[in-house]
Amino acid sequence: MTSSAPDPERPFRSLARPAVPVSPDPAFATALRERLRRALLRPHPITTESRSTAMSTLIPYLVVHDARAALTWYAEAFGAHTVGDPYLDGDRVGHAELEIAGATLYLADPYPEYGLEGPGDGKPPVSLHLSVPDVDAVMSRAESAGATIERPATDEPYGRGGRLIDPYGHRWMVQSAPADAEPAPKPGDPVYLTLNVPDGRRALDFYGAVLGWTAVPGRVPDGWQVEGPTPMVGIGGGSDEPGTVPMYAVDDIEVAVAAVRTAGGEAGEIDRQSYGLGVLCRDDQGLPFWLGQLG
Amino acid sequence: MGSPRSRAVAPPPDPGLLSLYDRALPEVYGYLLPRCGQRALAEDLTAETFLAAVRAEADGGPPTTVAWLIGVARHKLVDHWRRLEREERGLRLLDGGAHHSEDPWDDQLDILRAREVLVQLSPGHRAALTLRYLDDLPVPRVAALLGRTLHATEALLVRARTAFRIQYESTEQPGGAS
Repeated sequence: MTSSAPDPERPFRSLARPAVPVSPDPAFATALRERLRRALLRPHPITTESRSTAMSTLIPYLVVHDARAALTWYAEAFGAHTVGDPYLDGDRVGHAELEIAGATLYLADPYPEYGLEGPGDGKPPVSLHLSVPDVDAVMSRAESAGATIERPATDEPYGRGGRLIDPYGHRWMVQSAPADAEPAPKPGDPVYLTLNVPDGRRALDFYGAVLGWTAVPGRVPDGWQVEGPTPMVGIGGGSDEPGTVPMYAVDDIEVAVAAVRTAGGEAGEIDRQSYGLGVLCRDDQGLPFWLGQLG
Repeated sequence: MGSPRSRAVAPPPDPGLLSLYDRALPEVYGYLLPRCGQRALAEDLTAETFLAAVRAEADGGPPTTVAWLIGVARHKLVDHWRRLEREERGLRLLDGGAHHSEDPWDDQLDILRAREVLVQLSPGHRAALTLRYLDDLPVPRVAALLGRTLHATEALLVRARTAFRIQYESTEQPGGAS
């Protein structure tokens, strides 16, 4: 209707739809929150490689009378340490997270108003399975710290284990760790692959079609963090020299860099990265690789 | 709180994401639902978005914000349409560069009907129109999100608008817009 040239986009402008918050189904919201909570407590993906024990995904939540004392007790008896700062709610510990032998545990004081009560006089409703290298040492330490031995350690086909009731009324099944539960990558293990390509998005498309990869944007332009594979994979766009560069784990990056140079390779500057220390090297034939000191 | 080196591989979970969750969830879901048009899909992509945030935080990324989550949700949506497009590619003719001009069209869109039409378009057209007009992104950003050149994206938008218009006009109610 106007005299100016028609704008083919004009009718479409009325489609603009700023995101208006919509609350999803509460059941979905609750389930996703729980999924996130579990995912947040899972160790860094680099270590998931050999975390194969079924218990690692189970996070028991303890309600105890006097959570502060319990935190100290679990530290003494099982070598637990608290992760982050416990959430304090007045006089109560509202939520605390403990790490014990690579496993995670939640702990809080009773919240009778939410129906969360500490164990009563009956048998504890939840047992806690703990893998340790030396069952006898842990059980005797726990016993001398006030635990009640429910079943002394015995050798079973699946390993040595025993049961005890701790002073707060919870049952622990203390079990020797399976021989193959090696949580951290060993020196020399490939821990990360970087795909250097001209067009990262296109590489993601290709490997998405071939291998089903999905990714989230990385922190560099056209960089992508692939979700899922072990070892972890990153895609970096903008490289005119396509190639895959592995990262190998090392114990001591400075020693490793010296070894690279002694063996006739080249090593760049050691950089602090989110995962630890990293350095880009080339072997004596020019093949690039990263060394990573994780943690 | 301290970050001892022994924990650098498995950094302590940042309570940031969970404390943000209640506020961010309706934002992310509210972004995705009208663009997906399907509740189950919106829920799946919402979950994928938040799980991606968990991974990004575990990788030592900066603290998550609502804006970052919406950006990831947009990527998840684009990925979804790309998957659909790949699946459908064998079933239909590739829309070549047949129509490169548009007739002037000065209609006043009925928003509800427009939304129904969008759902009926091919995933590629739907992606382009959603990013350009629902999200109101400039063409270069649409191009970056779709992984196409600027020129190809402009051509895609022309075809998408044409496809939209054909579909829109074919569903016109006899009584005209109410």
